[in-house]
Formats: sequence, structure tokens, C-alpha cells
Amino acid sequence: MRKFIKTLSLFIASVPLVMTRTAAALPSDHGESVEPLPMPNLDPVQLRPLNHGLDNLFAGHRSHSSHSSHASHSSHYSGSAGSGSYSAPQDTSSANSLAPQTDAMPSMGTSSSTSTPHLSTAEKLKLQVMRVQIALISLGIYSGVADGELNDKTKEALKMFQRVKGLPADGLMTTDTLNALGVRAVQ
Amino acid sequence: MRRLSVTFQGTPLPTVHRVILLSALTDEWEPTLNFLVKLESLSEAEHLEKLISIGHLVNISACVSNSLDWHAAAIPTVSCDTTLLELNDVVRLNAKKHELIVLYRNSDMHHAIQLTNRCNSYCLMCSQPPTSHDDQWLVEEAIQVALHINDAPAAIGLSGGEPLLLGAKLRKVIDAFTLRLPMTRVDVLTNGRLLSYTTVAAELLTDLGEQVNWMVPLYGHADFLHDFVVQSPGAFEQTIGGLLTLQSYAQPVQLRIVLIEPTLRVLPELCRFIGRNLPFVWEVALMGCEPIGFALANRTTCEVDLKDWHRELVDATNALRRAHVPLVFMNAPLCSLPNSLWQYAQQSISDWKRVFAEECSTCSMKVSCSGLFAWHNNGWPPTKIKAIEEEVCA
Repeated sequence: MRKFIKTLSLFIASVPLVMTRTAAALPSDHGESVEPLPMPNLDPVQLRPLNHGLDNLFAGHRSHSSHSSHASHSSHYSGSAGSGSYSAPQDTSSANSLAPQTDAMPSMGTSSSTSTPHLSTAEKLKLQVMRVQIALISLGIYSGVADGELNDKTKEALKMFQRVKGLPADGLMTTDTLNALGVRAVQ
Repeated sequence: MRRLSVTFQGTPLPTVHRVILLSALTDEWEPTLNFLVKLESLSEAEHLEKLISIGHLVNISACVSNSLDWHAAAIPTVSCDTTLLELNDVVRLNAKKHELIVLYRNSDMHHAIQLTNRCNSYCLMCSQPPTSHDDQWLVEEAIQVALHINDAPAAIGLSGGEPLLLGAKLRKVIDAFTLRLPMTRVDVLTNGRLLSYTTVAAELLTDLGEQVNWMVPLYGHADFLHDFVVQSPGAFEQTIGGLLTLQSYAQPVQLRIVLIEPTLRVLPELCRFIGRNLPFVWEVALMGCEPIGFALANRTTCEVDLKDWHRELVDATNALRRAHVPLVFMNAPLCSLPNSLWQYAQQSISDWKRVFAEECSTCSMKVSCSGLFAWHNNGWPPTKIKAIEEEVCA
């Protein structure tokens, strides 16, 4: 342990001696460059139901920003992944109450303030599929690996789940399906 | 930092985990995070076992209370008193020492992450004496903590040691927090010395945004005064240079003055200096000395009774008020301050290290008082603690 110089006058007297020793060291790695990182992307405040249509990046249909403003809207573009026909957003609270994961809900409000902007779209899709797979394993209707691949086995399990819940059995991760599963859409 | 002694079965990853309930797993699971699932019954344990074996999930460990008699070869398990763990705690598991360290707990009032133990100053009253060994692993740990936090706090402190010794890596840590927790203020406790180097400053501060708040100590208005307190010749010039650099990057700065004998003696002049030369700081914090670490070794300089210095304290606050620089008192119980300064007193001592003395039980102001450091018994209280009898409007 280095000795302290305990009085001010002694300190002043000894400055020339100490000076050479403690010439401030630069951080060892200061030549290293900082990797540029994307700027924070502020999440909108999340409200119930668990996911709104716009939250779900991988719904299998294209989200439409004007749903709420004109409910009579009936014809919709069907996205590339979609063999499934579009169904208008509906109140999912009844489906939610049947979901096995509802006890996870209280954590929602607080965790909405974290974000995953560091992921690419492909990584986000993989993460969302993995979470869905985990939920399906929990329910006992999927027995494959949680690998993030939306494979046939996963689609079959999704269809089965959708049939049980009375949702269109299209095997897609629609917003309603996610809400019923209790899986939050990856943003 | 809270440490729990635990027993391990299997080999849990010796790294950072988030404590969650089984039911939250589907919602929070990410492949890059590690989870410590708090199991409350045997059926939950079986459920988790099934989930892990079918789904090939490798980033999950289980946490059971000592009373739950359950073993599963496939799942690394931690047994401990689970009542001491809260949900969303961010913990580190240390198999070698059989302990679990709580690095972050949301219900705490103050959050701090230690980035290094090294320092380029050697302050007389340092509460966390520096070491010189290589502790760069703390950087990776801090980034992991940022990723594992689930419920964003209002503010989180990055401290040390001297965080600027991390160089460009400090920016990585800051970015990890600001990116993951965009609503959280990041407080960096630093002596600011290395920011006087333009290359270091540019690496750290370019395009930094407004989420970071720099907390820099200043102990004198002349070089030898400050340099004496931090026992490092040249420190004053560097710190002032660092403060001006922060200002040029439009970064918010809080100045911190620890109230020990050498600083109290010059406090009014120091505050006038701040008012004239550093009026851009958003706040000056006048802080009671924490009687731990080097302060115990330098008791003659550090042990003060704030009551003996009321004149200096009032002079200093007047100087700051005249310059329109906001101020707060930290770590100073109300009975150590003159009534006129109570309005500036803050409840600043982290909950896990705050205690009250016996005399405090009858004090009418206890609810709004900072209290005392838990270790004041090994050192000294900031003044002779005295209950405040009457209800006084501060």
C-alpha cells in the first residue's frame, strides 16, 4: 500500500518528488476504437392486450395502421407468408383468460421499458419462434427442439393450439395466437 | 452487495443470471441470457425438467429452497434460502466460493455497478481503496448486467475505482445500458481526469446523448488543495480540464465535495470558485464522509463533527445560491446540519447500508433523514446524533 502524505505542507513540499512517479497513466487500451452501435429505439408504451397488431412484426400478414380508425375496413392485403385469410383484430381478453401463461402478465408493465434494438430482423424472428416453441412445449403439444425454426412440426403444433382456441388454424404466429399463448411479440 | 451462501448441484454457468418464475420463462426467454428459475413445487420442477430436455435449452439453471428435496441430473441447481431472492434480481453465481451475489435488485432505491477496482487517484477518504490487479472481467459482467435487467430503474450508477481507466470500453458499457434501458439515467462516478485528454474524451463522448450524468469530485479551488486530498499531483488541472471537456460536449455534471477537514476549511472559497468558473454544473453535492476504507486510516483528517463547521456550510451554500447553482447535502443526518440547510438534505444512503442510531427512535424527523452508514460504529458518526424533538417545518 502506498503511503499517504498526511499534511498539506508536507504534500506541497514533496510534489516535485512525487510528480514523476504518478504522471497520469492513460487507459491501456485507449487506442482501441469504439464499435458504432445503433441509437436507442424508443419503445412505445405497451398496453393490454398483450400485443397489438402493430407490435407483432411476424404476424404473417401485413399490419395496417388504420385498423382502429375505420373498423368497417374489410378487404386487406394478404402478406407473403399468408395462406391464412386476414381476420380483424378482436378483443382477445377471453382467449387470454384461458391461456396457461396469464400469471406472467403482471410482469409486463415493468418489463416494457427494456428493449432489444440490437437484434436484426432475422434474429428477432428466431427469438419469437423460440418463445412460441417454449410455450408450446410447456403446453405439451410440441416435442421438438426450441431452435427458432418455424418448421412443419411447430406449425402443426400452432395449428392444433389455434383449433383449441377457436382461432383460424393457419399455423402462423398471428397476434391473436401470441396473445392466447401469452407470448409477447419481440420488438 | 448482497452475498448468499448456496450449494450447487451440477455446474451452473459461472456468470450473470436473471431470477425468474417458471411461468415467466416463455415471455422473457432469450438465447443470449441466462436464467435462474425459482421453483416453488415439485410439479414445477418436473415441468422445467421436461421443458429443458425437450427443448434443449442450455441457459437455464434452477433455484430451489433448501427444504425442497429435488435433484435432476440434467439441470444445474442452486439451493439456498429463496426468500432472500427477489424476482428479476440479477445475480452472479460463484461455484468456487459457493455463493450467489446479487448484482442488481430493482426494489433497491440506489443501483450501482462497479466497473473496476483500479484508480489513478489515491484519495485520503476513499471508501473503496483501489487495487492494481487486472479486473477487466468486471466490464463484461457490467454489460451482462445491463442485458439481464428486466425492469428498468430510474437511474443506475457506474462506479469504481475509476471508470475512465476502461477507456473506450467504458463507452461500450454506457451504450449497453442506454441501448437496453432507454428510459434509465446513467450516473458515472469519475474523477474526470482522463477526460482532459482529447482522444479519450472524443472516444467516450462523441454522440453520447443526454442519458448520462457525470459525477465528478472537486476538493479545492487551487491545485495543491485538490491534489493533496486526492494525493496525486496534477490531478486538479486534469479534473478541471475534464469538467470543461464535459461542458463542451454538453454533458450534465454533478460536482461532489466530500466534507472532510481539508475541504471544509476551504469550502466557502471552493463554492465561490465553482459559482464563478464552473456555473454550468447542474448540481453540487456536499457529502458526509463515509467512515470506511482509507478514511479509517486517515482519521485525523477525515473525522469531523459537522456541527463544528456550520458557519462554513452556511457560507458555502450562500455562495452557491448566489451563483444559482443548485446544491444538495448527502450522507448528512438532519441533526448534523443547521435548520436552514435541511431543505437541501437528501436521503442518500443506499438502503442496504443505512441504519439509524438508538437516539433516532424518538426523533421527529427520522422519516426524512438520511440516516447513518451501517459501519459508522467502526468509525464515527458525522456528528453527535441527537433526536430532533419538535416538529419543525424545514
